[in-house]
Amino acid sequence: MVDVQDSVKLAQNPHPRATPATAAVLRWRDDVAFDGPVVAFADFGGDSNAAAVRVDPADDARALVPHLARLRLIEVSFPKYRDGRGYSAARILREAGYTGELRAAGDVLVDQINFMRRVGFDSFAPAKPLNPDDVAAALARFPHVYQKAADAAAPVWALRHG
Amino acid sequence: MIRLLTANDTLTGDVIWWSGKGWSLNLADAVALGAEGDALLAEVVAAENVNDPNIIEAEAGSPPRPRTMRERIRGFGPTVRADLARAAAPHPDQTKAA
Amino acid sequence: MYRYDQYDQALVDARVDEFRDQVKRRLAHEITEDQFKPLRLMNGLYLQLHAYMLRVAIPYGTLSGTQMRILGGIARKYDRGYGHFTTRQNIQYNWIKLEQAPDLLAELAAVEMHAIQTSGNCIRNISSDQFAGSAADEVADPRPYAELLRQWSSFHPEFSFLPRKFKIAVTASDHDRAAVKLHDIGLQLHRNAAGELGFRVFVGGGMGRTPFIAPVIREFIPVSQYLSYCEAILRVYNRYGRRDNIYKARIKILVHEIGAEEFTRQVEAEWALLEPLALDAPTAEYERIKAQFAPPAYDAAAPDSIDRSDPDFAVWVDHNVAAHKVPGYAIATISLKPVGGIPGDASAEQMELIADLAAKYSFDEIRVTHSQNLVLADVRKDQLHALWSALAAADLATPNLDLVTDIIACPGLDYCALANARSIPVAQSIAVRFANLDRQHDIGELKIKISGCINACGHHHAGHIGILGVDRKGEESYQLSLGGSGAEDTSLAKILGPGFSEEGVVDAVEKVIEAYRALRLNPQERFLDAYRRVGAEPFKEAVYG
Ligand code: HEM
Ligand code: SF4
Repeated sequence: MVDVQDSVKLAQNPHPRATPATAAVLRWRDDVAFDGPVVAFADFGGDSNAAAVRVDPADDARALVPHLARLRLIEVSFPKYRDGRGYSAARILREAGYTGELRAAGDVLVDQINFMRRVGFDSFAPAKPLNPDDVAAALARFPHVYQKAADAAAPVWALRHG
Repeated sequence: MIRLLTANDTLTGDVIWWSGKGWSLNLADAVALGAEGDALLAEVVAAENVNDPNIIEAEAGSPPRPRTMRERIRGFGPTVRADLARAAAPHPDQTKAA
Repeated sequence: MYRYDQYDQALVDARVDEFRDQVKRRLAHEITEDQFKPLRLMNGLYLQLHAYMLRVAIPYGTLSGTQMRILGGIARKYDRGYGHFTTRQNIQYNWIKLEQAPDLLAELAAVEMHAIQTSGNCIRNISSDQFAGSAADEVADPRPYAELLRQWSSFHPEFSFLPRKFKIAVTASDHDRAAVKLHDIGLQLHRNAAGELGFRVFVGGGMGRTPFIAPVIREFIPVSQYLSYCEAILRVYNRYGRRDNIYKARIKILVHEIGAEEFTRQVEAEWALLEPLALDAPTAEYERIKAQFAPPAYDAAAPDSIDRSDPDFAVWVDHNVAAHKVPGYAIATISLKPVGGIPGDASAEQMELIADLAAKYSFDEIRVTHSQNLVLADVRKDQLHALWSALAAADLATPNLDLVTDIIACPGLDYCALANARSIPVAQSIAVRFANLDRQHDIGELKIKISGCINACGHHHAGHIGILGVDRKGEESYQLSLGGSGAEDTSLAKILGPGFSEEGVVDAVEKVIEAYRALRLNPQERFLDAYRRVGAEPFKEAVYG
């Protein structure tokens, strides 16, 4: 839980470091994790050098589309796992061609991780660390998918008529 | 009015009543809570061993008669299925049509 | 009807395994109730007043005799011998134990059924016309499209944490038997001027605390593109639907607040981006599914007349049997509304009997209607009498379809944790009051719909007479509304005046009905039409005057 002090600190420092790529961060990427400053979405427009941005649920991810080429990390926050806006944000970014790191941060739980992978997240910074075995089991659980998303999985209709 | 502690069993979903020693399936076993009631509820909520714990009001008796229709239905069963009545006593709100 | 292939089966089986795991983790206290609750809800498992309640999906209301037999068996083995068919064509069991739920779901999976997404803030079971495939007035069978929607919406990664629940209904005729305009998305299949098939798209209808009739946002979307179009609607909703207030979170509020025109503009803009991504299933997939809904082997020699010499049977035929598109066949509705019974409830034995009758008389297929009855959609006319006799022996042949005793009622306070008042006893009292069949037939079509709280699961907003249970200072109280309809002439019922006690509301209903009988132009003028003609005043006068 973020206490009042933390929020004051965050407010004073508009450029917090990217969530450090410690053991708590799960990554499905081979490149080196970006560890420069992550700009808040509201400040991104005025900061033409920023290579990383943080998208909160109410932010319009599509506004980033003209700048995707210079972005190395987009961190999408999940203050509550029930707030599903971040799923659309992720898929919109992938559909627009973003290939950099797309990180789900915050209330990221094992039971949602499969969906998050499917909409294009390739790294995770859960507020509470996840058990890697549980994550592996969750990702291996469903052998097929019914619909296209931002991953490479072919929907069953493609398998049926492939 | 007396105060009773009730919840649903997590495993079975059954309505349960605090009997002073533990949980009972029978409303007749429910004990009237004294001043310790609220602390007990807080403890039960925190432990998360049962679902939806709550303190309700009832008229004393054997079994006690919960004040609201909702709690009477929880205690005695649906009013429309006499055959599924829960406690030993007859349902105070059984419908004629059933 | 649709049969699972290896892919469908593997997915449903995997879901059972997943849930078994989640239950194990909950019971071992590895996850909190707060974390577990949405997971069990995604599998249709609610905690109600007495126990867990499991809602099993009956996609677009079609099931086989084999499936019905298993539903009966489950009622006996895991429940207390009965189940409740709902207005959304599902079945609910009221006495389920969490520890047994995974086994129950495994039994369902073995007959190609599931409880996936029957609750939670996701896309729910797709509902449809109960006469689909057999209706004389449909442009095409809507069920293959509903099945495609079922598959597309199952485990949808982007739309499993929507602002609120999401309900889609599909029909294919001008006669609306699925209340499409009261759904989050209503899809009506029709042909455009060029003769091509597509959907008229209604968005933003719903009942609950603020009822709305859905506006049309697109007159025609070709059948080859309706899935991606739905994807666009859902994305706009997922991004912009209100999450700050649970009572304003449905799509109807978004559509209402920004206006249908602006909403449409946003959907079209989103769809323009999605359309090139080839998200729609190919025609070959539609054809594969459609082949499974091929008409059964009707007997061209089946005689096209009904022997009406048995008067009780003839009454049932007049009320519960509808026209079929094939000569020699008929559509029979099985009433789950015996006078004094619980609307929509069926015992294990009744379910098993109906399964047998479906196998014997209706190509092993059964439909569930949104008015909580069951349908055998393909019965030979010369076998109707035998069917009726078997139904009558099990109290399943009440000839009251669409009459005053064919009442929709939600479970209400007898079962539901959200209820303010009981619904079932009110339905029972009204049915008993009007038990006389001659009187019912004289009154004619009259749809009474009862909800135990403002959530409107009993469709009271769409009742010719709607009854809403409210809590008045700790006492059950009932509000009467008139003039609603869930059919093609959709309208929302209006509150007549101050509320009543349970007895009082039955008396008030009787006064309304007697007032109608006195003022109708002729016996053919339905209650609803009379109400629309004269307005509320004469009824107010009769009830409160
Ligand atoms: C017993 C457990 C049930 C619970 C907890 C429950 C809960 C709810 C809630 C909270 C709503 C309001 C949703 C909103 O406006 O956002 C609702 C609406 C609805 N429910 Fe239920 N319900 C239950 C049973 C049923 C049953 C038995 C039926 C069918 C008879 C049903 C069918 C519907 C329908 C048709 C609506 C209104 C249409 C709509 O606005 O989408 N529900 N339910
Ligand atoms: S209308 Fe209210 S009382 Fe009735 S089932 Fe829905 S939530 Fe429960």
